Amino acid sequence: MPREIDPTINEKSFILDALNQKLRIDGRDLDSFRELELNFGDDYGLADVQLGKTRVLARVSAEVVKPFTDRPFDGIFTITTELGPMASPAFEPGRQTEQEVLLSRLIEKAIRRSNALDTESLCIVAGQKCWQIRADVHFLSHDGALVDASCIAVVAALQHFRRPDVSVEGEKVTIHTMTERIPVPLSILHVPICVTFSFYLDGEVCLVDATLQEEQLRQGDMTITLNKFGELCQIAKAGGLAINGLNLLRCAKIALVKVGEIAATVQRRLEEDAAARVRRDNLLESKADNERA
Amino acid sequence: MSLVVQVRFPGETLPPLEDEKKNTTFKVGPGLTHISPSTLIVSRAGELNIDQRKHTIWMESNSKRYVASQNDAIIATVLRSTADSYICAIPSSNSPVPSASQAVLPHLAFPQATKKTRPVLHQGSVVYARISLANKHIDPELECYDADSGKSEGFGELKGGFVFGVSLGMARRLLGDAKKTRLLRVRERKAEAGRKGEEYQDVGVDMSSGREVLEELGESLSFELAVGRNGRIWVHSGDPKTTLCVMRCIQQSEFLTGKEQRQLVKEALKALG
Repeated sequence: MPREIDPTINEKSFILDALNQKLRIDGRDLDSFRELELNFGDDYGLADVQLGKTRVLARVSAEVVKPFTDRPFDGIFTITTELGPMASPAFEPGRQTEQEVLLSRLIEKAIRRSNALDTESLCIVAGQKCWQIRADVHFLSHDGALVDASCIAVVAALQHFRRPDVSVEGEKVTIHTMTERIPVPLSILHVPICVTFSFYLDGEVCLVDATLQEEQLRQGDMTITLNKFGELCQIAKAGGLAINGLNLLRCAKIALVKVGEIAATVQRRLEEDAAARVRRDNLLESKADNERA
Repeated sequence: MSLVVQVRFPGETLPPLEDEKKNTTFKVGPGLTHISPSTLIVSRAGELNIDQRKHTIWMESNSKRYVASQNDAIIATVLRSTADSYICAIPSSNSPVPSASQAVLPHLAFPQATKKTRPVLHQGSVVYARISLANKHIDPELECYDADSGKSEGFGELKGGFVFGVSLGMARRLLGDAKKTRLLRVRERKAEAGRKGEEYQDVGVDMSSGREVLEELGESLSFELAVGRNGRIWVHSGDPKTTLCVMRCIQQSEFLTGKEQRQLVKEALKALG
């Protein structure tokens, strides 16, 4: 079975030594993210997030299905994540590791369970037809902070996605093609962003956006999910070093700042992409709210 | 560069070698496939190098994955110990996720080692070793002493410091290979001019060593350095700040000219204070 090599004794003691002096290997501050690069695909709903050498691709797609019988007024939203050998040779296809389960549950909780997507708006005919929105997350390269990167990718892809418009006349449902009617954006209630903290030296040092090497050496980690209004969606801490309340508060404060920055970047990139699309496809005329002379 | 570089692509067949002396045997290096009796086919894109003196021919190109070959000095990591040898990993430069091939380092492959006096290495130790045996189908074997003198000559466990990766081409350059190939080019041109009966004209070949970054760093900082041909570099100095400074300078200097490398180091040193 392919395995990642653990950091050597030299690397281990050096990294911890450097952290003790508040130095990181890549020269970042303890509480700073790597440069976030966010790109969108040619069609709607494809977001490519690069956080340093970590790279995650999220793809959102929609399909008309029958809703669950116990929830006839709700659409369906699923997120699938799979760690494959493309991200790292240590990941095997088809076999779920503990890391993978934790990761998918974290993202699920951060986005789906926090009601980021309004599933009621996905209903077409109650009990008969609804939209199923599916977000597929692909991990292309693994250098730490997979949770943070995939959360950004999914929320960006959801905001970028447009579903075909539908019209209902009695029992008859018409799905209009993208060219026939302007596709509709999803109704997003809020934008949750995850920030993962890694703890070292018995909680004295806490890092934001740890690289793979740093992740391998950490004593514990904690993920805080917030939206830009500062509403807390989850605090996830699966084992590891115990931290005190003061530290938790400090982390939450850092997270709030980081979430604001990331949400702003995502928003800016979305606007840039929309502007580029208008130029490319000459969409100005098709806007409903265009200025009339 | 003003020199004509022979760039070849995979699948090309090389023209028959021009021999200065008849009936010499050429050694075929990496990137070329030999099909008997005398056809050479390029199997890796890069520059073609022919050394007429040593009778060697090889392709030079940059890559990230290391393939073990005999007599290379490499930096390996100890994985575990068995009854008579250490099992080591040879990590390549491939970041962020290190891919590794395994190698065997016998307990007795240290200078003056006996069964009782062998050095004890733990899991995760870093060793600077020479590949004593490299075969396509079996794990390579390592040695921690110089083949000629039997002494350590710098090989052995590397204690303290930090290990990081660079591309294989960069590692070779830091070991001084770039200068060798450049000298080779000059020699080729001289030979060419000699054949045509012209006088050799210096065309201002870039004779920089490609490792100005180390020369410049060495002038003002004190540190130890070991470069492995597998694209791993070990740096040790008393102070993490210095070590990190050396590491960053080396990593950033890959695509810089000699002058730019010196400039980079000067700025880094200023920032270090």
